[in-house]
Amino acid sequence: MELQDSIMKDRQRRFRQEYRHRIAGWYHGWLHLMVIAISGLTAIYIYTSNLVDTQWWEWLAVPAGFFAYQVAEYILHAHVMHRPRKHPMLRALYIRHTLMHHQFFTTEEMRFADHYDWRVTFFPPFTMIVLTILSFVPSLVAGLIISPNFGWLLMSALTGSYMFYEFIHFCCHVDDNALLRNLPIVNTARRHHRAHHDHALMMEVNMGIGTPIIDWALGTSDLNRGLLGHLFNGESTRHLKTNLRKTERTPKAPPRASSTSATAH
Amino acid sequence: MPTKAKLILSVIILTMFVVTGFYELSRDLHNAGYAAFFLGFFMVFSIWIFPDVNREPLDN
Repeated sequence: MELQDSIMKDRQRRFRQEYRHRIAGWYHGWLHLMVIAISGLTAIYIYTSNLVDTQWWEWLAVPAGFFAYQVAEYILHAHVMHRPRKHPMLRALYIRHTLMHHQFFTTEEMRFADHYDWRVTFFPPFTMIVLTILSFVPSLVAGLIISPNFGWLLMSALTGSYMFYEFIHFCCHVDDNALLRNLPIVNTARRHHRAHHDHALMMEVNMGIGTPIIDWALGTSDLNRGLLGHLFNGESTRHLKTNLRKTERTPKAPPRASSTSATAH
Repeated sequence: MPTKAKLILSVIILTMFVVTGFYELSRDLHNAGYAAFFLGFFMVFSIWIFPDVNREPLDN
């Protein structure tokens, strides 16, 4: 199944067709979504069950965890997923993201055709596992040094931030509608991410997906405005920078959805 | 994902959540304890059944 009302080029259409062919036939997008939701919500339930007499300042773990996640997401996206590294696992992330996800979705066509295409956007289940393992050490240290509640809340915030990322990224690739156009944060992310899918910009611009906070802080956004303006920019293109460097540093021919298990995001 | 990587992740995550489960039970947080056991097995199950994108390419 493919979108009929699309202006995508033949190259993208062929890539999407081949990628879909290589997904096992029993893949189901709604099941994938349920796995992420069940894992994330159960984890947050476990972590928050341990809270006892929480003090107001211990809730600061939530924005701290959210911000730390934004930084980690930015670094991974900008410096691993868009930069080919020598290490085979890191290189696989580059191939699957820059050479697959960005071929599947371009500025001409950002939409899923149906739930089978969600495979190209949602991370596979091992991501939640890796995130849980990576979150454990800093949360444990924070729990020991600051307070147990702080540690549990930090763990909850990191898991919640990942689920927030999945939600926002998903919203960036669904068909346009009035709700998405008017929902703050979501409408901002949709424009921000659509610009990132421009092949001439994708290697350097709009690397934050959940929020544009780090892009604003590091000057890698395509907008010329302040933090609040970035967060609530919506679909507006009034503040676009006019001096952006346009590069075409992605390979001309995408690999066939080939070799390894393609987990494109 | 390579089988070796899946095995390593499975062992780590099972250990983490089984330990967490017993920890929660020791604090009389029974629901959280059983949820931890469930989550450990559910995560492991999910990475083993999740389909990779690796079928043969189209000949076109």
